[in-house]
Amino acid sequence: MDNTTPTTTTNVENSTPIKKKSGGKLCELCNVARPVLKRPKTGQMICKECFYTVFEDEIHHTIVSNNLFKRGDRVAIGASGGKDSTVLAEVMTLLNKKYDYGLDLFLLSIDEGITGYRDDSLETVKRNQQQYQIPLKILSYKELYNWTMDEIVKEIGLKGNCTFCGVFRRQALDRGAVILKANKIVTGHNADDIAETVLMNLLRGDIPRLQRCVNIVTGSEGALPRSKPFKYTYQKEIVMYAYFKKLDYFSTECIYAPNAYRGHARDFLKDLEAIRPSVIIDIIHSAENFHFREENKMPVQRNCIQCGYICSNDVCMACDLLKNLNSGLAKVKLSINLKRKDKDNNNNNNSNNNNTTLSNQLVIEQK
Amino acid sequence: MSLLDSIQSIVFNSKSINRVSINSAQCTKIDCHLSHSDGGNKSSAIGLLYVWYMSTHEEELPSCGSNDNDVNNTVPQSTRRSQLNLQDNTKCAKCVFNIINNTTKQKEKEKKEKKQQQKKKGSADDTAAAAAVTAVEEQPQVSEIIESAKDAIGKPIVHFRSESLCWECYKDLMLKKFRTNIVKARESKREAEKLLIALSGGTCSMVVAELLRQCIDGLGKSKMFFDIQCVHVDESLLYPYYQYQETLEYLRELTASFGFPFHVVPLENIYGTDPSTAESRRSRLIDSFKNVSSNTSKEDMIVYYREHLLSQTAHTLGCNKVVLGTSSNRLASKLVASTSKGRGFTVPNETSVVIEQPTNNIKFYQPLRDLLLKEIYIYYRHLRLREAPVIHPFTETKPKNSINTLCDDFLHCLQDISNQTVHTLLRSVDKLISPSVNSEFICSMCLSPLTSTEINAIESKKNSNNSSASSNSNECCSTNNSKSDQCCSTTSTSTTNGGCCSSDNNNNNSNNNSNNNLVQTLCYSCRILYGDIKQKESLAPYVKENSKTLLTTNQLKNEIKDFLLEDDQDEDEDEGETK
Repeated sequence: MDNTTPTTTTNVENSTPIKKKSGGKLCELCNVARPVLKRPKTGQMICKECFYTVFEDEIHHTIVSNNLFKRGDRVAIGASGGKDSTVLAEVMTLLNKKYDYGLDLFLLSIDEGITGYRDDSLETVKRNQQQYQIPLKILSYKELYNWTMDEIVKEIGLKGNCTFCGVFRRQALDRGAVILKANKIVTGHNADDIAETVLMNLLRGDIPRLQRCVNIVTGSEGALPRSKPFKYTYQKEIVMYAYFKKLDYFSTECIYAPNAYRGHARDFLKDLEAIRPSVIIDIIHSAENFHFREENKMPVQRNCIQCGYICSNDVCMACDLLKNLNSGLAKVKLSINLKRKDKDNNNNNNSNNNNTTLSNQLVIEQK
Repeated sequence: MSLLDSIQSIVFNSKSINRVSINSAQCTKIDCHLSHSDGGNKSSAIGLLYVWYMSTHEEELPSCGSNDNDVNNTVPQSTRRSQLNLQDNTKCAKCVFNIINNTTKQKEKEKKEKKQQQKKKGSADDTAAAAAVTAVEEQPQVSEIIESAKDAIGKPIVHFRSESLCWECYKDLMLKKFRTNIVKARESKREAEKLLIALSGGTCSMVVAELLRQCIDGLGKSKMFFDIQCVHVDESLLYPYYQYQETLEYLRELTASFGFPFHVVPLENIYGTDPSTAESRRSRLIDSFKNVSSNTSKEDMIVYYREHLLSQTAHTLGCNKVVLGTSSNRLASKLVASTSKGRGFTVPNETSVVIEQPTNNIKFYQPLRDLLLKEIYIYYRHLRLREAPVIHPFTETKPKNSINTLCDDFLHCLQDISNQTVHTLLRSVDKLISPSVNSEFICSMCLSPLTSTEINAIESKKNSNNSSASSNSNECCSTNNSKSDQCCSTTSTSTTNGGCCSSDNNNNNSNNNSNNNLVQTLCYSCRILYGDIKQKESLAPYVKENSKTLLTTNQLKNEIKDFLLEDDQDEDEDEGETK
């Protein structure tokens, strides 16, 4: 496992170890300071300093053992202003200095144009830029696609809007990275996110995504690989880190994200974690050890004939969605797609359920 | 309060009496009260609910199909499969189909002859026109045929995946689905295969026994030859049965009526079969389970012990095939649970119809994989076999008791939201495979193959005992250390816990060392389980034996490995020669 904690080697440089002789327990790692927290991942009682060290060392270990970066890389940090990306920016700058990765770091923010959500969080990112002294680039949907999410939602309503946002953001991040002349992107996806995605893809039967979602680096065949240094980092520890370091972050759920199904998966994962804290890592371990039948070929990568962006069809998703938006057909197309999906599902399920589909034959018979 | 009373009160309280079908929402509510490691009680409870339900709502059809939850008619009529929809639900879809099929076959013959004649005439337009005419003609014919053959069409009893079926057709369908899976257990059609049915006393395993009896009796297409024995693993020591004597009596009677020999194997036999030590084995088993700190690990240990006993019994009885009655609900739940326990490598094997076991020749079969729990129960009800007693106590086990129960509960809820959940999950796992990297290397506890990294760890350990010790123990540090710290940091700071920490490596005592070695031969998930066991000595002896055998074989192999010819080496040499 890559998440191996160098537990026994932590010699924390506590300048003045304060020994409390109150008979209380000592930190399980340094045996000097008084523990202030219970590590969500392992349940160890440790002190603040040891927590910082363990937390950062783990991420360092993940980065090194997976060869995420090379000296001289220009790395764009996907920064939303939320806890994950704020901690990511903090840890990346810190590790870059501490272990001398020799990276040029950039903050890259995408402005989806969601009033009351993104505008506030972008303020946080701007403050982060001041704090860490890293260049920041903000790219908006408006300037890229001439649509804001507010306008899109007005156009198509609250069903399927996340598809637009997701597709656009993915491409926007890449475009922003190109503008910054970055050759790598890091995102703040944490272990909880990944475990949740594994469960979701299992439940949806989405095999191609199930294959991809645990990779620490995606898109490595393209010019802009994305990586997730927090792959083995628990969300709770990220929150804890942000809390103790008093990091400035923005914590509000997106106002347009009513994904009920994912909500179920998330609650389920939280319940599982309560029973056995290692569950999140265990799920990732499971997914890493899934072996797929060979017929599940990954789609072939090629370039969109309209914008040149990497995609798996002739025209990329973003161009397709944009075309529909601009022609005012988005809502119609969306509902057709949904219906078609329903139908497909139905057919698939039927053929799965009854190999000798009775009434299907009946229908054919009638025709 | 009797079980039935409890169920009735639940149902009455949930105001769901007016729902047309027994849907899974109601079942989920019962499950919440019944969730348990074993499925038997759950299906029995659903069954009891069904009995009660049928007595009050005689006229309505129980439904277990894809339109199960379509209370508000949200699925558009056009997308439903049964176009020839018998909206009144008074005709069995299959009977209707058969009748139409038979009558139209004759007409098709005539049509074909006609078409051939027309083709001989040569004009393509004519044939198209003729086809159109026949299509138009056929429409009224269908309803006519149905009208004329009214008597032959059965009264539907179940709404099976959007089709109403009568009992006769449902019976045929179940047998057909069962046969397609059970033929996989046959290696030759002539010789009688020896099968061992694992009977829990629950509905599913009873249905397996019944269906196998039908196969032997030659119902369905052709007679199948099986030599069948039944076994019941008695776990009453750990989870006292609700009606212990009744259950055993019932199983005995039923298997006798089928003509199958019946054996009972108590779970404590995991420590040996010597009759003189039976009492000490019992206390040992109880003690060993007291020493496990998490419910999840307890339940998993029972499962592994049970499987071990099953294959052991199968071996002594000379059967090499064990048939389990796992329904698709339980397999889907197992998929999620095993994934959550880090068993991603072996889960495709565990959830398939045929479970391959790499070391011994005994295979496990799960022929009910394609059937939902509810479908199985409705079938069981209509067989009108004697009522199965409820095995497990009607205790209030909360879903958050263990990973297994939580997954059960979660899937029941999801199945209620979208009734395709179970099927989708099983389809997902169909696309996965468990490669047996090296069949010699299996986990000592759960007997599933180890991953290549785990095998490498064992091999490198033996190669240079000292140098690689640290790296190996580091590997298990992440899992084992974390677990043991979290569960028993307060109670025991003993040698066993620190056993895998690198600091202790230099002064290993012998006990530590053997534990260390044992951990090595466990799979990722069993290492977590092992960490939950406080007293490692109480572990079943077969685990230690397996571990020892594996390590010795590996050591022996290492000693003679320079003289063994491997496939890769041959290839290398070949390459060298060609170059």
